[in-house]
Amino acid sequence: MTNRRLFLAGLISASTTPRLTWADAGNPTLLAAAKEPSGTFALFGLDDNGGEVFRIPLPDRGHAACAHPTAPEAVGFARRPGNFALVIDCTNGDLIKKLEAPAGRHFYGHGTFVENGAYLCTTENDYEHGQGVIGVWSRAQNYRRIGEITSGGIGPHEICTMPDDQTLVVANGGLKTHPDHGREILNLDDMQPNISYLKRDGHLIAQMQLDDDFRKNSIRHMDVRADGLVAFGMQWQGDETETPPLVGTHQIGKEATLFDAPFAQLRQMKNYIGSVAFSGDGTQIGATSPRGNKVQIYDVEVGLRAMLHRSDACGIATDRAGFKITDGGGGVYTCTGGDLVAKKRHALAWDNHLVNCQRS
Amino acid sequence: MMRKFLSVILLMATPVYGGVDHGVDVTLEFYQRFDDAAQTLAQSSCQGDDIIANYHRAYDAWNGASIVSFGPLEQQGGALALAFWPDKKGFTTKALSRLITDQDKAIENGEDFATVSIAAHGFLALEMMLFDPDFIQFSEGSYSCKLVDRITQDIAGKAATMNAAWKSEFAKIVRDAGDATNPVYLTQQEAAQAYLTSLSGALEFIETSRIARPLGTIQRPRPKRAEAWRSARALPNIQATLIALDEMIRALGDDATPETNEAMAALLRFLPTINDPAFASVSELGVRFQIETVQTMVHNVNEAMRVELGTYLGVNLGFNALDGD
Repeated sequence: MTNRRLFLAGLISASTTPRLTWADAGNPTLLAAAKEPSGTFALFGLDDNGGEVFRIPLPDRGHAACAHPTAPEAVGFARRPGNFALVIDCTNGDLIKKLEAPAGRHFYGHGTFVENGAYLCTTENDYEHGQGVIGVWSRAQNYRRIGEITSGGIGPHEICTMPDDQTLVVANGGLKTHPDHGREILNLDDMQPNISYLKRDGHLIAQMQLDDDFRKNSIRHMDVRADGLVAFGMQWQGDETETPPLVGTHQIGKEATLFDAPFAQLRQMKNYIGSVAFSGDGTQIGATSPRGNKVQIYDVEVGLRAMLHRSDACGIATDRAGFKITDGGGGVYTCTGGDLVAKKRHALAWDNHLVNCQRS
Repeated sequence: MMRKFLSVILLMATPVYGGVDHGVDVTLEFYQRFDDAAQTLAQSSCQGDDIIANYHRAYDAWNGASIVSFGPLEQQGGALALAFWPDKKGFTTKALSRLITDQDKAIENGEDFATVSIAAHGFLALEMMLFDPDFIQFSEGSYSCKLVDRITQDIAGKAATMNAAWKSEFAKIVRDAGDATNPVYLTQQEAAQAYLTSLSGALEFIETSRIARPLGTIQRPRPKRAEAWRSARALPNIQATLIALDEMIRALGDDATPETNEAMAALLRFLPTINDPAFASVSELGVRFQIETVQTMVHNVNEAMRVELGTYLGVNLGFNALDGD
């Protein structure tokens, strides 16, 4: 039987203990998963110079992570089709909660917090029905799953929080897959990607679909600017000799803008964008093409500005000076829009995504 | 102590460096050969035996150069800029027909021609003009004749640009990979990785496109989906590519790739036993079986190469490039 006095004392101390902040985790500005030389996997917190702030082992290969806006908690996602996501206390590496996808669902590898971090929202596959869903998890209830909503399409991949901290924006890549068939695409001929704007209660506020010519352009990655402009990156699933634009922007209530480019430049992207981010001042979009070993920099108002070579670069995040970029060779770079400056090289292979932490 | 430490590093680094260095030597040869053959092609008159023979020579040389797909070739937009294939929607036929019907003046100079659909450039467009019954009926001085000249000059221009870029700049960039001021490769491994990825991609292209497309399914073979079937080059393209790959793997791997070399030698011995250069008879079971055998052997060469050459050079294929999402 619980000693009542002890129980009360516990409550009081809990309410008076100062809440932990990201400063308690060493003030990382970036999070990324990586494969280590020994073959193991870990989640890293990095500082502005690309230096390691913390390292937390992961049981398997990660994909993306997401950071709580104020508390030093990160969620590391297994790569698709993953069944787990780990909520980690970044002050000590302790596991706060292992989130398991419910029966009939798997994670897609991305998630985001809304409402000042009260809820975690995760992109998931309802694979028996071939529908995308967003799982909603309550932080106040120790990350209990409190429900799910439709994602507004098939194959939701990256999910971001809009500047109002209430609205979710989801890239529904359009690709139907089933864990029994690995990553095989089951609906190539009638795929229809979109970007959906949703409230946590499932209310669909707006949706953007590209013209039919771009139906096979799977919208997968996004970033959101402070004014609600969404940058998105695509992966072309159509004829390999075609070279459609792969990056665009969208704002609710407006037409999408696609950034076209000459054949020789589009071709170097290998019809594949691995990740996108806005620059620190919001005037540029950076997009990575790991299959082409390229990083593209776009002026939001003009279009393609620069193509930089970087072997196996995939992770890109916002940085005060422009962008931060990671590659499969362990490098961390700052990009100022015109060139890359190596900040640090780790004996690691950085995984697909680099995410901002404590982004103001 | 310091000296000992340094010598250990040198010992470890030497094979990688030597391998890539030798690979660059071979690359320079391939691009020089392609440049030479392309210039000869561009000097041919638009009809007759000469241009046909020069087309085949230049196409062979292109297959060699194409296995090094990074650097200068990438700047041109990759292999499609010289060989637009697979052409599932018939873009080459459409683009050429439109030019001829409109008598489009864009073919009068290289700059304007660069704005024309990429499907009207390169070897497959040239093949259409020289071998397809719908296109070959033209006379000296006709629009089609000028179009042929423009296509061959465009090929020659690209070949010269790439050859010059390798000689003047890119060879050094690859050789000096890892130097503090290197603008492209921040480590030696990155240059080695570029080679491994490029060679593996060339083998995969043979397996999954050049062979798989005409094979189709056993119920529905697709001979007209073979690459360059009009000029009966489906098999010669594969052969020229494999001969180049063999030379390049030996150069990059020094003597450290015995299984790959053996698998490649068996493959190169097997190819001449196939008597169907256009892959026109893929519906005949005997021929089909032979071509499927080639496919399996190419796959095995790729597997062996990734292991042996990858180990020797100390690299894998790109972590993110290989397995994105």
